[in-house]
Amino acid sequence: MFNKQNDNDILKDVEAVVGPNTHVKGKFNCTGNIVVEGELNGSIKTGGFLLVGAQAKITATIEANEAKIGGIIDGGIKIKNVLHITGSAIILGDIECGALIIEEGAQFNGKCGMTSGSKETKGIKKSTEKQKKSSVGEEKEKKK
Amino acid sequence: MHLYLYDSFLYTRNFSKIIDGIETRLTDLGLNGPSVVMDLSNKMPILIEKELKIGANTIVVIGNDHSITNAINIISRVNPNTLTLNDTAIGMIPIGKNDNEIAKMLGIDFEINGCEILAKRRLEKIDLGLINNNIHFLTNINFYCDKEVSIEIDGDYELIINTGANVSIINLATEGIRDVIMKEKINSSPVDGVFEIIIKDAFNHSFNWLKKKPRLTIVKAKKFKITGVDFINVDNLLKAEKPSTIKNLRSKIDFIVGKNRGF
Repeated sequence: MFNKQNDNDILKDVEAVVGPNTHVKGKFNCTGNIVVEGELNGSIKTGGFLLVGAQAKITATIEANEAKIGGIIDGGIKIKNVLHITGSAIILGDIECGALIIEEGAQFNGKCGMTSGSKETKGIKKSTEKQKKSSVGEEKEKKK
Repeated sequence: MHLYLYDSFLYTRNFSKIIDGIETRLTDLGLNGPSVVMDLSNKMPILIEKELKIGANTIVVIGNDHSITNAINIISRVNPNTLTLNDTAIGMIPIGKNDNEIAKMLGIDFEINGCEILAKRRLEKIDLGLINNNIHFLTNINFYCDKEVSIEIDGDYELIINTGANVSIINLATEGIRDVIMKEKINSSPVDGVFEIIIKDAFNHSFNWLKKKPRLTIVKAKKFKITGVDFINVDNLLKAEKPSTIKNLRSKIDFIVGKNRGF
């Protein structure tokens, strides 16, 4: 789901890191992978991976391609592909993502919507649509 | 035609044999030209401008890292129209193995071997940093936060840094900083048009290392504004007081580099 990357692998190709003792205010836009271990207020937008550490406190809207979240997030989260919420995460806001993993212990208060962004969900959608069509066809044949 | 700027320290220590050797080699290679002993007076930019108008198209600094920083700040005071007149390139012949980190990063061989690099004239467009529209830097600037410091980056967001942190802003990473960069897997280059801002927290360093978590803050920026700092160290040589705006001047100088450059 995460291209078999663990946290250390993600850190090998990182564009920006917000360390534990740094506070960011404003629009934090990047194209690559971001690691947040500190505080952030405003918005985060990246075309890459977002890794939020367990000690991070984020009051912001988040947009990313993929994300693994372990800290406190107050704001909407929009992830194109996989969103992984770890057991230490507290999320206060709505989520929109392609695929979702929530670990035991995570707190989530908000609405959750799934987009057709990820290949996995597209595949599931297609197969369910096919199943629906075939079941409708079978019913029609039975009626005849 | 080449114009040679000699650092004054070459005349205070015993470098005469090395200088003689270099001058002979330059003559053999057909690279001889007028030479000037560099000083920080207002006459220097005028002198350089004169030579450029006569036909010099390459300014070669003979000295060390400090000589390059001084030369860049002198050359920046030359009329930009004159500098572009002959597409002026900057070269270097490093003297002495200490204080020559810039040469190592640019792949320039030391002393007499540096003449061959000049002869090959492999050019690379290098970025420069500009502080308060006044002081230029090639390698890095750094400062210690003795109080809370704020850095506004590219007009988009603000970094608020706690007391006790060390901040380095990197254009060309020299050896000491390069080790940190390699360890943290940061892409850093003096030709990408951006600085790497590295904030190292003095207090939680070892604790975070044990936890294998990022102990640094690393962001990239084209221009930024610093508030709360009284002075910063520039290229480990100069001090800039009350720094305010710092911007990256992309591809500002054509530098003669070696093939073994570190970027």
